[in-house]
Amino acid sequence: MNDGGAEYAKIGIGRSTVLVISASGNINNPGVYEIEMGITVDEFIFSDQYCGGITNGKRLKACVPGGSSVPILPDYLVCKTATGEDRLMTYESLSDGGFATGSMLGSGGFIVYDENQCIVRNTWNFSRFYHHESCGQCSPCREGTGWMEKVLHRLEKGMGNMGDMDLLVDVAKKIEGNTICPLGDAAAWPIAAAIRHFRHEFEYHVLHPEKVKDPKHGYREPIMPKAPSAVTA
Amino acid sequence: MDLLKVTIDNQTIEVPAGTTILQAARLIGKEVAPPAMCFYTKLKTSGGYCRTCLVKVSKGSEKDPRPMPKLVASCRTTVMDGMEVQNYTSPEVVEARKGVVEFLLINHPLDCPICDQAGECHLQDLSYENGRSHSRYEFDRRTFDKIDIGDKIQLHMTRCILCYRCVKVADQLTPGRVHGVINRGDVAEISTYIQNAVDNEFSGNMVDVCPVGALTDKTFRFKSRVWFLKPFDAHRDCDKCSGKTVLWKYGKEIYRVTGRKDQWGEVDEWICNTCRYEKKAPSDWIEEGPRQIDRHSVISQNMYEAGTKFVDSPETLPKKQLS
Repeated sequence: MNDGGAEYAKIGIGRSTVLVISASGNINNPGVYEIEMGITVDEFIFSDQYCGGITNGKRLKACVPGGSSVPILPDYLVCKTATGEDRLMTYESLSDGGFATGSMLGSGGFIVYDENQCIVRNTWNFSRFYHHESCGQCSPCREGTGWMEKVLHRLEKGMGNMGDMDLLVDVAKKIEGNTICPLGDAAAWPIAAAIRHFRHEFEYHVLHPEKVKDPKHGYREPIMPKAPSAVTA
Repeated sequence: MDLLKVTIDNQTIEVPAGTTILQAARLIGKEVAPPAMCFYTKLKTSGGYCRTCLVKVSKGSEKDPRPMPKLVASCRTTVMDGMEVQNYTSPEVVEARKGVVEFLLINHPLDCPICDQAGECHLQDLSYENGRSHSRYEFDRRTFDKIDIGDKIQLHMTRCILCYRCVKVADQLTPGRVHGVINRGDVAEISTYIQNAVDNEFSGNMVDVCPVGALTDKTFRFKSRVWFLKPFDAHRDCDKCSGKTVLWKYGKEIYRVTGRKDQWGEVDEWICNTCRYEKKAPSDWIEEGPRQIDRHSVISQNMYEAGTKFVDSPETLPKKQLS
């Protein structure tokens, strides 16, 4: 900044310059990093300069690149976009593919999950937060966040049924865009995305209620994301 | 002043600047007007909370024809020249409204059979006209500790949809703020500050503005169903208010007194508590005759005596009832 606007504009790519990222989750070096945007996500997660890779050499399962409100990405979409290009730490690259195969850089709250983490439990945790945060002025958010939290709690405890996923997607769709402030959107996006990419894990929770009663069930039987090609094969 | 042209559901109207989409739609008529649970013309800053009046703006204005990216609350969005709005003609709006009605109902106790508001409840009308036919909610509905807010008004917090209308009445009609919303999120509730009794001359209007049965007339509690009573326009000389009211009678007995509501369910003139609660003798009032009620209202199910004009010409009927 001291060098003037022209120098500052040279950093990074296009509109993305520098950003302070708060990296957390199953990584060797959690912390706050000031990065020059344009490095690849792969470099950010695995280089020793930044996150330092996944703890204990485990596999990467998923990543929330921009704070709890943005859509979660499964492993096959974190480092590569759907078209096979390297995903960069920029606003444009992370939102590549829209919400179907992309996410958002958002506020830079970077969360990494290893193979043992349970996405259902994580999604429930997010929705619990938004339920608590809702101010209660407008009806979709006031009622919807509580509803979604209850359904996710039921799924997490193994008491859900197969219709719950469609119900959640529908409720999230009814909240998204219809509220006064963006908290409604923020509550709806992570849930819709988790079901979009990890539906099989939600189904696992319905089909194996006795296994998921243990919150650490992911440590015994890691459930990895299924790429669309693997599903069809 | 210049008039702005706005098109709602393919019907065009010219309105002065500063008019909201909802008000413009109401000028066109019932068939395009979005429902409103929290907006109240006479209460400043009301509206925007319930989201039932969401509409799609498919063309922003003549100057900037881009559509608005999200559905907007028509009660809070002012019209622009050349604006094009879709309400019932947009499936997106109908679907979103269905969702909002569902959200309003998931924690509503649905105790209509024992609710004094039944028959004149806006939530009943709303869910009947815009909602889905069954509930997908399978959890316990929320409950609240009972609060006594005085001898004139009965509070049923479980029925409240947090429209904030009563709060605005308490704010704008009465001196001193005695009534507000405490807590937040889905445990928010209306309450009087440290449970003071709501006693000032115009507090009874909270009963009239409440769209649901959360605030009901305590003196009328469980006395009768509204559709057994016959409403009559009446007035009296009152030194506090206009004295123009509606008497709800069974035979000669006056069961309750309310303000006069227009076709959108909003009272024309606020009335004072003396008129509402204390003048229940027929000799207190000068009757003007039976009140006209939409013949599709549940209140008009027991037909009036001859002389009452029914609103039943095909032009005034809502379109869906014709088809």
